[in-house]
Amino acid sequence: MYPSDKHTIPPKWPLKLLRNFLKTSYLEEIEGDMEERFQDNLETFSVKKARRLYAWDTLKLLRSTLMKKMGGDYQLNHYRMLRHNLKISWRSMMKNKVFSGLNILGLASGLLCSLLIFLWIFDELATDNYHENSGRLFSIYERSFSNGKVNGYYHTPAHLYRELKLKFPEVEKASPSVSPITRTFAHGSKTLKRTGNYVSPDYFGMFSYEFVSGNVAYAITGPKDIAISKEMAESFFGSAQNAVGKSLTYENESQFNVSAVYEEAGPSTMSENHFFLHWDVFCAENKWTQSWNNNSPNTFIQLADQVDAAVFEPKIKDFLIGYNSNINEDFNIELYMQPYGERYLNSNFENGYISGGRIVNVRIFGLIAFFILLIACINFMNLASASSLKRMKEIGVKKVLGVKRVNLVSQFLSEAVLLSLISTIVALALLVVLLPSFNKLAGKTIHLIDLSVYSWGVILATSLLTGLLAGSYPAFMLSSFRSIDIIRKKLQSGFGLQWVRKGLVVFQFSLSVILVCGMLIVSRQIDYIQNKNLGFDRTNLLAIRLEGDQGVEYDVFKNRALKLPGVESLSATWGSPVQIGGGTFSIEWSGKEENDLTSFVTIPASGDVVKTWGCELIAGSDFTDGSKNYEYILNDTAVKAMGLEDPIGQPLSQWGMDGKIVGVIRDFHFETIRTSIEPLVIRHATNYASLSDVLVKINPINAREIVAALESLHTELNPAFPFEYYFTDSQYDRLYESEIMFFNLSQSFAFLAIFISCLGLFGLVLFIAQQKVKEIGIRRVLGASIVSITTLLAKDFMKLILFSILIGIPIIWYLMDKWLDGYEYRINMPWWAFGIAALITIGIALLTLSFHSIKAASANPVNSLKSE
Amino acid sequence: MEIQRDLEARLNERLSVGAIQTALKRMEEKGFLVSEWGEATQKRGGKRKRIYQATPYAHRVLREMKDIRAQLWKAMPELGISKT
Repeated sequence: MYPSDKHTIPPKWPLKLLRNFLKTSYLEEIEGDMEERFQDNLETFSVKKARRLYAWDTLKLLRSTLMKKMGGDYQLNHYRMLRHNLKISWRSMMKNKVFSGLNILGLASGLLCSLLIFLWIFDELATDNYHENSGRLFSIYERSFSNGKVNGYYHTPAHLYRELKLKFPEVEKASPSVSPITRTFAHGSKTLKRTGNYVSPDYFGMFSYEFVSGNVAYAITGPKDIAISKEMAESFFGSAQNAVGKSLTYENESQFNVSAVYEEAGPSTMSENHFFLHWDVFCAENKWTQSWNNNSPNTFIQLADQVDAAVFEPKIKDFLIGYNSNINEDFNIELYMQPYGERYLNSNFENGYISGGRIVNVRIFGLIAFFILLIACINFMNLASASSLKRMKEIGVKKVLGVKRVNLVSQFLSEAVLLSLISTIVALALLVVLLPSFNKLAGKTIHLIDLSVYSWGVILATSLLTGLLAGSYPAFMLSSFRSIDIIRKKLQSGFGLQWVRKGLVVFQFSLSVILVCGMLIVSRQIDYIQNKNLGFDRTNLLAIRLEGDQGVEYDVFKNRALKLPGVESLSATWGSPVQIGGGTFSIEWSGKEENDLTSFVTIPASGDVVKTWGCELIAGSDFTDGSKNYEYILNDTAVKAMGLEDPIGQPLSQWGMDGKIVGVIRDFHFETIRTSIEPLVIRHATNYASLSDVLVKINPINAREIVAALESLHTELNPAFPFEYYFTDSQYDRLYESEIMFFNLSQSFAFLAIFISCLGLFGLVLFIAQQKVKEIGIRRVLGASIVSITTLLAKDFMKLILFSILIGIPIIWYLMDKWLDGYEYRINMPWWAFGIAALITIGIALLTLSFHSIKAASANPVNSLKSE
Repeated sequence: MEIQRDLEARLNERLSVGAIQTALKRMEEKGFLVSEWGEATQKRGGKRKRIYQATPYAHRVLREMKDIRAQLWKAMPELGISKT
């Protein structure tokens, strides 16, 4: 029995829901049914359960047959208002096709631009951040202290991963890795080169890969296993399924068995790796890995579940003491951890601490997206508030008829949202068309299909917010007028809010000037980088990999290559002069102080190095092949760092190899010009097997034939390895990839910003000309020339634009000065860039202004004056 | 409400008010049912009931459907034989 005296009532909110949505004619019956059922349920179940059932049943009642129809007599009032608003919006849009077209075009281009940037940012943020164990993956980095200087880097000893896992139970998995290395593989008659990496068996358990076929957990268990990418499997075996279990010949010497075929699961910095081999393979190839004093590979660890990284990190800080024999009171290396997902965007070091990196670009582009969207919104506000003067009557009449301000605001807002939704659709359509070229420009592989629900949510939210933002000003401004003023036409075009519109124009154009000017200065700096005299001649310098027996046979290769017409000189080296990295303290010279810890960059090279690289020899001589003594060539900076008066013939020893200085060359840039030139020691390499590349200086006139001749020579001497070469200037350009990408993108965005601003300007002139149509007519009749009328119309706007240039220039000067400070070698602030940016802006604005002004001025005054 | 209780007992399954109401409203629309207001009780929170009654048209349609089904049932074994 239900207690009739103390009537237990069902929960309130479902009832409210019912009353809102159910057809009113059904309400009494259904409400009664629900109540009766609730009371029934009370008899069998607890009060809580009965209430729960009641709520659940209510939700099940929301069916189309029982709900109020969106139409007919049961129409919801809000819905009706919304429909009215949309209808009015549509009509006013159709009435002013040019205006709405401009509005939509402006908003769409703004949205398109920010959509592209969003996609780019999403991709950047997702890079390396999608792994299942992401929260537990860390990258180890070192901080070295010497001479009061602190350096930070990701290079670690080769066996650090193993020792960390052994000594700390908190470290569940660990793996090293190196920068991708190119190796030659063969299967049957197929010989191909692929880049890949060397890792520990833990690797595939730490990082998420999609396995196309093969054994997932045991991808690399033994030193004979190889895991390859789907692309590599397909090029060797036709399909991924065929690959597993087959063997591949590595560097024409050893065999590996394909254990698994994988695919990248997301945007990753590891995507260049087409194969993974056991770390022991790498260690066997590189003897230096045996010493704990050498730091080069990266080390990644995965912490066990529940381990607090902040608690664990201090435990590994002094781990290297006892392992690295260089550590003493004057020199120390400490270990730290960085979450793996953060590394892609934050990989720069400043005084040993991680400070930024790509994240800076992400922020800058985020800001640009925001500002371009803002320009588009301002455009919209300007056009909407100007054109709405025409709709004053509508507002006035509505107000008189008792329409509340809220309703007017909602009307204008829904109009703006409608427009911004249309613009979003236009922008998305454009996006589909432009995405392939954008991917090319930004070096990404973004597909719209791969976008997550979250990203779509952000896009939709941006579109709605843009609509609301753009619509807010006209909505609140227009609805605030007193109807009496409107009807009495007291509000003319000169109402007090004109300064807002002017302010918006100034803001827009300041931003445009900033973007254009920034683009010009960035382009100058890039030009400077590309054409700077680096101190060596990187043009017509060809690099060929030394591999197989070629190291041993280098003399033969050199002699025969030199006989080819067009080959000027050859020198073997490790890497290339474009990018020489790595430093050592182990250089001894006469007069070196006890605890001098100057770091020298070193590179081994064979004979004719100075000639081939095109450096300038200040003193001494080049290396000659065949000399068995240890010889060294220094750069100017190194001589100064050593404090040698007459360096030629002085003794010098690197890593215990006692020899003599034979030459001094003028400083050249062997790193990016963001950094200053460091002391360099070139060591004469007598053992060619330890070198990696042959650099060939060729005559550019018949480059194609020379390359072909070199290829046939290479194939003859080294048949097991495909011929591969690159020009060093293309390698140089790759060093500045991010600058070039930044420039390309900012160029597009700057023009887009100007375009949108001009659309707005065009709309405003159109509006003013319409307003002043009578005035123009009368002036024309009284004998004013077209020029004077155009000036009349454009004068005010030109003032605004000049003003915005004055505002924009100091801001961009400040910003660009800071950007250029990031380069050790930078251009001086090019003042003409400001002039050109100003001229471009003024020119485009004038063009826009005069386009319509002239049309208005040259119209026949009879047409404008005949009606009153 | 009675309809729901009856059906729940027969089918041995919990049904929601919405399921019953939708069916009723749609059948009424199609002219199989007529309804009128019944009495209000305290248990119903003072709300009136609606009493549904099948129309002669509904009876006719039901009978037709039953006949068709019966024929189909009859046809089944034949089909089974002819198949072999």
